[in-house]
Amino acid sequence: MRIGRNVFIVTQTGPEVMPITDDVQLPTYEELDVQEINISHPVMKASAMHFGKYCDKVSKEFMLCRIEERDPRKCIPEGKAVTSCGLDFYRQVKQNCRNELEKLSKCMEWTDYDLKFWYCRKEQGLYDQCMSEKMGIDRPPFGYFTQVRVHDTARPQPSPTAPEFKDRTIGLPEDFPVEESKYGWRHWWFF
Amino acid sequence: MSSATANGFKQEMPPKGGYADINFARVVPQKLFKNWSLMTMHIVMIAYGTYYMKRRKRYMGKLAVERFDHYNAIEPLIQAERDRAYLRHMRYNREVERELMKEVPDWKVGTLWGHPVYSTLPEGALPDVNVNEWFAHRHYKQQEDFFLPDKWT
Repeated sequence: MRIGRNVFIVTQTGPEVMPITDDVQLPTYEELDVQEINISHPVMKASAMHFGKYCDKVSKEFMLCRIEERDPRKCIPEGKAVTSCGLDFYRQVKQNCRNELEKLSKCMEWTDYDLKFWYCRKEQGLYDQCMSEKMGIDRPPFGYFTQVRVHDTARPQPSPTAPEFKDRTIGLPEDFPVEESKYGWRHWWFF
Repeated sequence: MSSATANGFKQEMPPKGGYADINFARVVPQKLFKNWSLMTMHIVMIAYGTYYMKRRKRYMGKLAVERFDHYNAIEPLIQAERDRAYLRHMRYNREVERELMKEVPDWKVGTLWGHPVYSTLPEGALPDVNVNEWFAHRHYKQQEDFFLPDKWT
């Protein structure tokens, strides 16, 4: 269970209060209503590499924003861009390579608990061929998404938010007298 | 042999000629292979086993990389949807709290009788929410599902 910082405890057990006040700006329901992708996980996983290549820029933008800002409210437009790019991609796939993708996802779902591809190489080959012929998207190299990817943005990097404490310790002045210790290290194996 | 008594009761007696002898001689196991051939077989099995294990481990590593590849490619899609659901749920919780504590005097929404929960957060920052508060207005099974998603309930 996560433990919040500086929880105010009244009794010994401590009541758990929802800390979202009226001062916290939350987006409205209308702002968050967006056409979502109505596709199941095996299908998404089967078409993941090609989707990753098609929506590479938008995905990287969104993930970078999320990691830097550490606030989901500030990355809503980028998230919407990712979802709409995904919708574009899947609409095109539906027109061109629907059967191959369906066969591959069914094979994956029914042969492995972890959705691995190790019994579905034939279907995977057919799907890759269809994608490269009809949509022109080649599969990215093996291990592309597991390595570090660099992204250039126009968005400025946010400044770090650390609280400034009013009663900071002053610290020692520079010309404070420093004496050498009388008995050295006090260990018999050091000098 | 039965010896009938006056009541017609049959007592169990040893067979005619008595019981057979108990065999307590030592049973030596059969030597199927010779000593040196057994040793070489062991060494060959170990050698082949290490070779096979190395190859298999490398293959499973590649499968794991493939699996993570596919997951990382999809992660932005899933994360965007999840963020939106998170913010929606946050707003829902705040509204429910406001409605519940409507008639309670001296209650400010999001604070403990007017006192804020966090003291050093910058203004307008999104605070951490405890899991119990998050699922406070939902069935406990949804909170369980958050921690143990593959339960058979």
